[in-house]
Amino acid sequence: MLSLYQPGHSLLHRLPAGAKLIALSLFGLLLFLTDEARILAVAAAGALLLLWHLRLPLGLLLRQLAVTLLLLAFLVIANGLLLSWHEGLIVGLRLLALVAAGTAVTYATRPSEIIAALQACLRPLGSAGEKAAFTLGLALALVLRFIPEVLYRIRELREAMAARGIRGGPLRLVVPLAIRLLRSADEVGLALEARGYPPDFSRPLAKESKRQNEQP
Amino acid sequence: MRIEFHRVSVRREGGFLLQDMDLLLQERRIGIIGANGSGKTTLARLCNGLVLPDAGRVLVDGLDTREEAAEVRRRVGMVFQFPEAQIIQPIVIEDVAFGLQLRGRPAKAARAEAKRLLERLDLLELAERPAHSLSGGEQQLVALAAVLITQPKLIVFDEPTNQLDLRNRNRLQERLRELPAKVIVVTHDLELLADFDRVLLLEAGRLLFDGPPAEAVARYRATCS
Repeated sequence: MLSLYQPGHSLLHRLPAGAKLIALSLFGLLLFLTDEARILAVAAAGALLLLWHLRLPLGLLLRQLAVTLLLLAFLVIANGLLLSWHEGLIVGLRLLALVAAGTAVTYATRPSEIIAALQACLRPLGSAGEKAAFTLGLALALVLRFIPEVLYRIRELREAMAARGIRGGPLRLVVPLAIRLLRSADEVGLALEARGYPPDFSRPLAKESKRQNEQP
Repeated sequence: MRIEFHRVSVRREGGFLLQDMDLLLQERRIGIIGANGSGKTTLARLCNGLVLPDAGRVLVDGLDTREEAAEVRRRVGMVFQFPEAQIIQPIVIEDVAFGLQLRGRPAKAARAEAKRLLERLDLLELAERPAHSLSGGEQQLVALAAVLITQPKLIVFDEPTNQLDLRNRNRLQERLRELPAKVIVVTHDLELLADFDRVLLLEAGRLLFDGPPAEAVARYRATCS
């Protein structure tokens, strides 16, 4: 998620985003190929070590991962009660390893680097791939951009409702939130247009600079 | 750089946002003032083709905004009233570089250029920050940087000081003075226009006054009293 990235100079920060994503995918895959508690414990310890290596403030980590950790605890208990505590342990270790590794990679990789790595997969497809890569990059950037905005709008609406003494569940937020987000999306669309979207793939900047210099 | 309005009208929901506007804009710094709903933002957005006229034509350096919108937008940049809407990319430096990437510059070169620009504007400390975490003033300055990087000949500002505290407002005023590009500023901040070359006063979609700032502001104050 956008807000997780923390600038830094750790080894994990310096590794190429593509390598990190491939390693994370393989790691996730391997975690599901074993049911051996000792192997999963080593994997979880390794992933936590990776997270520790980033030297992030513990408070920040707990704040960001609180919901995930609660969910993890729920899954462990549910599996323990419904199946067996051994099964609960396996599920817990597996998810802990995955969450820790994923969080470490997300903290140490700029969103743009993740996007660029995904775009690189499309480039070999020629000019169509180039366009698709740009569109994919923009779409992902917009998703990342809107996450904090949605959270901000929800907080804003909750505060406005509280200030007016209105009580109610999340359903009450849906309509005003949708209206605000649609307005915001309209403005973002206009801004994109104003900034030159859609790009002209047939006209690289070298040609454009020449054109501009020729203008009176 | 010249912008011509030829009998331009814009209609919305049965009424006129702008009516029969004939203008030639070529001064270095032009202000637009008027009450809410007087057509200021519409006029500003007509300048780079974000709004198209329902009647008449808008020409930017001879280019019709209806037919050559993309070319017009290369020449006319726009800083929006709410900069958070203008910021597309999640990290500041990426957003500043984005305008160049839209024009075909490779990501790495665009990023290097963005870094140089942020340094020149004294904003380098914001480069790696998530854009949503910036204050309103910082977002406004980043939005300006994102426009400046494409080197437009004219920059249109829609109420740029709206969300700024006094310090950031003064900072923006200084930037406006130093800009190499021509500027058109829509604003309620009348002091901002003191040393402008020309100020347009709008009322209900029509041009009420067109002249030097002091007289335009005095006329505006008179209409509000």
